[in-house]
Amino acid sequence: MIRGWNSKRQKLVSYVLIQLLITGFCLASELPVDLSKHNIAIQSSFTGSTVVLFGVQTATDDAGSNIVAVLSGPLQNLVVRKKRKTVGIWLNRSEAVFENIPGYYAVASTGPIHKLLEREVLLLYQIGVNNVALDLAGAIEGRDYGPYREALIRHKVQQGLYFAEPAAVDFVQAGLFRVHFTFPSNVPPGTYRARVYEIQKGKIISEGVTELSIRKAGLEERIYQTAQDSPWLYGILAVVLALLSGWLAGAVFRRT
Amino acid sequence: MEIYLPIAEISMNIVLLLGLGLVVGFLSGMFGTGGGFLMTPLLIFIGVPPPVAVATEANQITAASVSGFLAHWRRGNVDLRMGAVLVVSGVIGSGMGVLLFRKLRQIGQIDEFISILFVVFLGAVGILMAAESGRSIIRRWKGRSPGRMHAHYWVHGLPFKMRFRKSKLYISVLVPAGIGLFVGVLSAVMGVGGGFIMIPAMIYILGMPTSIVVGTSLFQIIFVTANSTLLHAGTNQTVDIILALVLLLGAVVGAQFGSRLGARLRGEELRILLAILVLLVCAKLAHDLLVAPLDPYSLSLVFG
Repeated sequence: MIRGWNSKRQKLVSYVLIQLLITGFCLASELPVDLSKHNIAIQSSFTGSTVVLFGVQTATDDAGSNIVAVLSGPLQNLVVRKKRKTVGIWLNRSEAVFENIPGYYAVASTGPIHKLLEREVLLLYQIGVNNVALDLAGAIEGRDYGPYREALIRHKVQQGLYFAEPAAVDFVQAGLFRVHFTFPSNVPPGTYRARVYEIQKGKIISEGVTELSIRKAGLEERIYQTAQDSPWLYGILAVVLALLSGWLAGAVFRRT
Repeated sequence: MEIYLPIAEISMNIVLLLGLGLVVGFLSGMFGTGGGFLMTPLLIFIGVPPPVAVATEANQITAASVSGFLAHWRRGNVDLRMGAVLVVSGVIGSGMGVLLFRKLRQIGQIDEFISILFVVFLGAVGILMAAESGRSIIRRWKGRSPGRMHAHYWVHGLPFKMRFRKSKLYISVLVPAGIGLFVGVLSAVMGVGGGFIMIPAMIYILGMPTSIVVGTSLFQIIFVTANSTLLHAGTNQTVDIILALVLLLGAVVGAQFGSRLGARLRGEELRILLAILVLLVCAKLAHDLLVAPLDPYSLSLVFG
């Protein structure tokens, strides 16, 4: 455990040194970052997972720098529905459809993000759970979609896929930082992208990007892919399996 | 211990799922029902998405019905001719049901529609069962024997008459076909076998002898739920075979104990107990529909 940790850190530090030599300390340079793993497999015992993001600050002067990391997941089309009482029953009566919304979104930072960067920059780079671009499909002029946007974020937070507050950025030693990101069991499979920004006096001085792939694997992957790719074959298999297991169950208990 | 369900895309406690299968299997063994009318709402209560709960339960009922059917078949308690009429109409009905299900899911009304159907049918069946078994308990206290059923209604005047030798019936084929169609639609939309509607309909509307009612109903349920499973998988990709297998495992074991205990209990008390259970599930669903939700907004993936 400890040894693995050290060798990982050593690898990272040497990687950083090489990076620095290549880029030659230029401005808005690349921020060296990496993840503890680049693949997460969803199998039968999957109950969620965590990933650790590492990085090294490029700022070496006394002023120091702040770090903001964003991890966002595969894009989804989502619908928010609102119930209203209709002849005594609470039924879905209105809806708003949002397109290309990150299925997962987490931020970590060394301080309150609105103090580190201008609001325009936060919106441009979609930093912070309330700055994620929530694009509507077919919005009606003059209708207030605010409550629908709030509901989308509220539900994502409840599902453990968005986080209301930024996570902490820990410093392992001077300049070397790490962030823990957690995924619940209902994490949407797909490609995840980590963007890390180093900030000095309200300006982004360097940034780094790395990716993570979350995929179903093994039997779960086979079952899911068969259901998606050949749904009728899957249906026939499900029926045959049911007939066989029903017959088997009957046969087993007839003997006892 | 958690198990990841690849189609539902969530992980659930395997002990909870096995326990659910065991309890529902126990009750269905004791009362001689399929158990879908309890299992589907319970799956929704514990957080399985309703479309997955309905389609997966259809798959599980196919398996559960096979073992029950084989036992009745060996005793000769199946009217195949009547079964065939019910199967053909039921399969058409379940096809219509899956189409209806898909349409309702697209417009975002499926969850509430399923709940409303359950409230209506669980409520009606629960009240009828409680009243009926209450009456027979009172009758037993007073020491009177039950009166005979009158077996002639307007339904016996319809055309296209057909002879069902095993059921000792000569009636219009339209009557069982209509019942089969109706139960088929409900089966596909609600994720139930439909025995709790089919059996009373066979006894009170068709006038079939009670001895062959359960076997013939199971025969129909196998085909109708198999068809629903196939169509749900083919059009909606909502059948989770891992979930179905785990539930089945619990259910077959539970059913064995249930049927042994059921044989020792008196019919009326048993039915009163089942009626109370059915009404409790009904009340919970009705509560969720009628009381203002904590959050009127809901979030889901765009479908279709």
